[in-house]
Amino acid sequence: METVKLTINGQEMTAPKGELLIEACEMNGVYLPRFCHHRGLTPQASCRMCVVRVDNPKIPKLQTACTMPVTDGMVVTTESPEVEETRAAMIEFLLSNHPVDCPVCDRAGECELQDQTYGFGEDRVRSQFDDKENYLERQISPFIYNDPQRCVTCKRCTRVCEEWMDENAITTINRGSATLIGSFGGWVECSDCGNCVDVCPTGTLLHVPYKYVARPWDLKQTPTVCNFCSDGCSILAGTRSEKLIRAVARDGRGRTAGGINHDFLCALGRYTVDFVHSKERVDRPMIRRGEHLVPTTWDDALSFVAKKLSDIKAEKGGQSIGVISAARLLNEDQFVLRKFADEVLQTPHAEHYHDDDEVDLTSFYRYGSPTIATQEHIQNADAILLIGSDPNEENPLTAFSIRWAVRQKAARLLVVNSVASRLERQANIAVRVREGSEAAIIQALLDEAKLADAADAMGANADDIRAIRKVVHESGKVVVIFGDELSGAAVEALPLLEEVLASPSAEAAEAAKKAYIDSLQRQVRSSNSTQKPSINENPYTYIVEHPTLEVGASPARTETKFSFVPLARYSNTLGSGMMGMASGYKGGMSAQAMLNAAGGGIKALLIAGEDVVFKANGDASLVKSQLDKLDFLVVQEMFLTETAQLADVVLPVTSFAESQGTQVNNGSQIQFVRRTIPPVGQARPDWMVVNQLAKLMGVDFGYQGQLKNVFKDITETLPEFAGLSHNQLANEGATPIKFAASDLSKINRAELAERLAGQVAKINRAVAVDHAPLTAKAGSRLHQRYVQITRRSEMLTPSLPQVAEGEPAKVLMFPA
Amino acid sequence: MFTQANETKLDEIITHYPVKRSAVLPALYIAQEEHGYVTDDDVKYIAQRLDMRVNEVEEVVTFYTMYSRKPVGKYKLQVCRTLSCALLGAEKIAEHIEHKLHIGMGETTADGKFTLMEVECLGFCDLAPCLQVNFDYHEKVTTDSVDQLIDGLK
Amino acid sequence: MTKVLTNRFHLKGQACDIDVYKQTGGYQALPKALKEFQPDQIIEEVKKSALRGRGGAGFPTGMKWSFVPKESKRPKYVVCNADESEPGTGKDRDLMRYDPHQLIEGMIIAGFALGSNTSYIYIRGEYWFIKEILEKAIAQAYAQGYLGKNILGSGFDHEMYVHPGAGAYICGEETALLESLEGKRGHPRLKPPFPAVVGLYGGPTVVNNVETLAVVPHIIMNGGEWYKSLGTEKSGGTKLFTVSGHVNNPGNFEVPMGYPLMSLINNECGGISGGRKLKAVIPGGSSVPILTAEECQNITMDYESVAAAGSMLGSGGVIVMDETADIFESTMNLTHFYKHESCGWCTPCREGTRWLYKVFERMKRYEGRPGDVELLYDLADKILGKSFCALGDAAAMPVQSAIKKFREDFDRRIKHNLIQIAKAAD
Ligand SMILES: Cc1cc2nc3c(=O)[nH]c(=O)nc-3n(C[C@H](O)[C@H](O)[C@H](O)COP(=O)(O)O)c2cc1C
Ligand code: SF4
Ligand code: FES
Repeated sequence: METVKLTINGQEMTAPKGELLIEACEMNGVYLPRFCHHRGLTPQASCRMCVVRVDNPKIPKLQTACTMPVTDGMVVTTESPEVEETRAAMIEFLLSNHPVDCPVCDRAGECELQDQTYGFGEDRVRSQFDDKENYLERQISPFIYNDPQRCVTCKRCTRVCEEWMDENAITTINRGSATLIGSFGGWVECSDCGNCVDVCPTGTLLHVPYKYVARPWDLKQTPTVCNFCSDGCSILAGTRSEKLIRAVARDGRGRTAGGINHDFLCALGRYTVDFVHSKERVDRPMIRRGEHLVPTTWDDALSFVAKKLSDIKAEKGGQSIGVISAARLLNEDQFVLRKFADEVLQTPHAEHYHDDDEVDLTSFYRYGSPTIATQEHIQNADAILLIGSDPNEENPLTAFSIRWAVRQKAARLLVVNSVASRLERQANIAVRVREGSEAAIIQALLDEAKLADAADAMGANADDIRAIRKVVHESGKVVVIFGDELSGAAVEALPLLEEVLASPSAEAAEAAKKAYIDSLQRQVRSSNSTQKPSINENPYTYIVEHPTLEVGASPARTETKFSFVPLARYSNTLGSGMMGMASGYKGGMSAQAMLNAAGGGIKALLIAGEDVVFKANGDASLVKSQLDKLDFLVVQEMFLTETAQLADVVLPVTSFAESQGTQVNNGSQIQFVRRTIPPVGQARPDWMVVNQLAKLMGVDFGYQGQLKNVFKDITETLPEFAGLSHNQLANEGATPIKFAASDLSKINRAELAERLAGQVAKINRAVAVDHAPLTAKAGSRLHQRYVQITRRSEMLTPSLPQVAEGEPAKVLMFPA
Repeated sequence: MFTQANETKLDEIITHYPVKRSAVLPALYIAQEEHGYVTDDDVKYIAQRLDMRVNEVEEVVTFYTMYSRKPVGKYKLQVCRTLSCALLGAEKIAEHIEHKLHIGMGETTADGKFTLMEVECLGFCDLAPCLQVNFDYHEKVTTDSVDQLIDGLK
Repeated sequence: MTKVLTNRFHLKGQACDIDVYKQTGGYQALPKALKEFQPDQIIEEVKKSALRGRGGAGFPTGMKWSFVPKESKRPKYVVCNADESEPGTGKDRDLMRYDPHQLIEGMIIAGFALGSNTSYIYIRGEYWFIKEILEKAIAQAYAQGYLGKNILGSGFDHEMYVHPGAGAYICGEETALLESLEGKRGHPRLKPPFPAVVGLYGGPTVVNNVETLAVVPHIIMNGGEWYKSLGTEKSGGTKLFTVSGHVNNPGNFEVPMGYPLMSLINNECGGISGGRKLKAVIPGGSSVPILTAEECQNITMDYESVAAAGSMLGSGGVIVMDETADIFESTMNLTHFYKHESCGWCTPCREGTRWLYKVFERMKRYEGRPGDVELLYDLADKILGKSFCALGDAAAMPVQSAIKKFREDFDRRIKHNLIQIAKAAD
């Protein structure tokens, strides 16, 4: 990385070239006060707090460090009477129109205005007016509370809404000292991500569920990882008196949870954490007595289960017992479950539950692992090809990274999708294809001769597809993001892209990128907002090359040209498979097959954390009757789900907040989940329950009840995890897993091409392409997917007014 | 949403710019001309018409003082209050109108005919004091000429 | 005295008709420019003329034009700043309503010089009637082949449109103007990049005042040297001044640069109204520091002389105040203006103007507190040079200069002082 030397307050320092002065100072330990500046947002220079004196080059006026790129030999003074007086004056100005109602403000204690007043203000009050601009406090969305009086008009919130979320749901209205954060009609309809609240430096925007709930200094804040989608965002979990009260990406002082999501979180990760304290939690073991499940002790429950399983194993053989887990369980849980199946039950049948329509990972990893892209790679890609799925709905962080890449780095987004996605607005080329036809794009990319026919199969214009192929071919780093819509041979063939569409040369790729940026600059800049925005709406990028989110880091690039993001469905879908909870592994049945075989080949099931009845699309009664056929059903659960209600024994287990361990996200990064609260009731971690069962059934895994021993076992058993430790992961955050790279020589190309052709041939070309615009509120698919858990969150309830048990979340309309 | 003539006019205006959004100020004038003020429906319609989002229209309307988001009188009596006019008695003119119409600054007569407004410099400083009624300028006004003017409008 | 821009004013608007304009020498510069000049030569000629921008900042126009990159990826634009909202200024109004073609011709030539095929006249919304005059004139120019495709067979195309503002002083600031023209809130942009490089829709853009552009045809006709010779060495040509306030005959007057201020007041304007005594003059629109009567005596109206006296020529809006004026009141009036017109973007201007006005309010009621005058001065100091755009400076300078020069008008407003005065009288 290129660096420059500059002098700050007489001391020589270095900083990355092109970095903003405010960040360069911070890297060198000189903190400059700020309100409007935020490293993830376009510069705005409105609060005037970060002013500095620049002597070389000599500039007559004080300059805002948040807009100055550093240059070699720059001489800067950040501490002088002149600078300090100006900062103090800005604070004084802000306070002159501020209620200073800290005693009743939720932000007090983590308020940047407070901090900076202490740090940089003066201890005098000259503005004694009773009539501040008095605007009434009001709630502006199910999750956002607004107290306009406290606003310092830094507009971080509106920029977050526009730049991160592409929503423009809140905006500035009025002007001058009457400026307000608001919206048309006064009610904000958005995807409820709540990021605007997190970045607000004052108590102007507040989380409704957290309002008047706690004072920040009473909170214990623990960084941990979200347990919903496969992106794996870090959250800062705030607990008080052993209760999990809130989840934020960054606390009011700008401290973030670290991790891969910077300051970003989505509605689900943020506003559902209270499910862990739901009144519906099962807090002690229960055993069936006739019609009823009645509470019992752990000892009784466990010995009963051990005995039953031993008996069935003895009678019908181990393979008559199946183990099903939920993909959100941590690696340690999955590993012990698999080991339990292998060594105790001696059954091959152990799998984490797959939804019918989940992305096909088996084919993807058939020949080893292609290069996997992390969020950082996405953000630094030259081209992004999105096939199937709508990350905006299902993997919000991935969607954020895509938008970031397009907006800040002029990445070209190519969308080939039968699913409507708001990301189309960012796309360089977006092609809506007929349902179930996504496989054809792979064929078109791999074999130009078949392109025209493939385009026809998709119901797309061949020229568009050709254009996409050209971009993919000429671009430097290409990230392919694919979701549920892609399967079988199409997924299997993905690694071949590297061969077929390798760039002519690095220079050619560079030239193509230049030419593209050039073409963007030829476009009229102020594009209409509901059309795709061009490179960047703000004029500053013309002088400041925007730094990466990771301050100072050089752009992350993969070694191969192509890297992939399989949009795995659940937080630990990938990890679960790697732990061996996969069908086919040792010839075992899939979870669905086990359910079908209930009463037949399968006599007993151990189900950990999955509500298989709920999951059964439409045929719940069928699954119920299947479960009824079992001799024995034991369920490890947090809630008395429909599945648990049918169990012979229900064992209460911990949620992600009460357990510790690791999970693997869709960027193949392993992350450490920290315990934030003690177990609710008598709940125990899944791995521990199974470990105890094993012991009772005569096998000691040798863990001595210690989680770290489980992980040690993992690192010793699975080469990908070799050398890792919980400690290391806890300190270093998301760590890439080193897979064996895919071995293209193993691929039988002719056979694969034939299968792919078969896949394309099966596409029903009579189906019309659905060109309907996106109308669903962002995130609604995400809500639906986890509704078995999220419906137990009281925080979320205001946004989902009529969610009855088992009913999917109401889909709200996205603002037009 | 607008009259056919105005729709045609707006279509023509849009052609002046490389992006539709630039036509938002003219479009808002049309809305105001038709409905007296910018209604909620106008905001939504203009957003749709110009490929903007409602908030982008709303933030624009509320920035510029010549648009109103609330009903106003048929005649907006806009008294310039800035220095050159003030030096030559703008305040007296304003007070005179207040008494004459029995309304305060910013208020509308009961019959919805007049709204009295104080505005900043109208660019007629050398012809002060100056009063603008809707788009019509009246220069060097006196209490007498204001009387005549208002009576003429009734 | 040679008049350049106002020669058709006596026709009281008849020159809005293209035929009258042509009969009086109009549309001769354009053919000449297209035939006899290379674009660069026009820029050179403008440089020679020592024409400085008439919008307020007085930036040399030729130099501004030469900043426009020759090769540009995006279309270039010429934008005429007809926002004219600076209190005390009404010159562009008359230039447009009495002689619209002069401006149009100037803009087409500027477009040719800069290689721009599109221009906009951003006119303040209040000037709706002038917008209509301009639109008629533009239509005539199209009809006669001065605008549109292949102008006068030269191969040069140029389209021109009028765009109305909607009540925002800040939209006179060139970058806020561009934002507004793009259909957004009128917040100024960060500079650099300057509009000449990245301006309207991202393309290189020259923003010039009406008066600046209206001069261009005359420079083409008579040469830059000629224009320069009308004024002083550094401030070329003539300038329009709007004189308002306490004078017998207020109005717009075109005088050569370097014309004595007192002559302007006494000759052109017929002296102070009612034969009263002069108290103060704001020489260049409300944003510039005020001058005392003494300071006015020897001042000549050109950029350098006014600057030497501690003020600025600004937009040429001369506001004259006689002895009856209370400088406290007039400064308060202007502070209200700036508070009302602050766009709200940056802290010092948004909150500072509000605070200033609050202090003024209590002082107006004669309830000023000891130290309030110093407070005003200090607040202005904390705005000055710290704001995002020049509006903050514009709000601060009048306050500071008024306090410095007319302190007694302020001191009277302090309650404490009143008590002292009353006691002394006892
Ligand atoms: C707050 C503010 C208001 C301004 N208002 C006007 C205006 O109304 N008319 C104008 O021509 N220039 C105005 N200007 C100056 C413009 O920014 C710009 O300098 C000018 O249009 C350039 O044209 P010129 O070079 O021909 O002077 C204003 C500047 C500021 C900072
Ligand atoms: S000084 Fe600041 S608030 Fe004032 S008009 Fe300029 S940018 Fe807006
Ligand atoms: S942080 Fe630089 S101006 Fe706000």
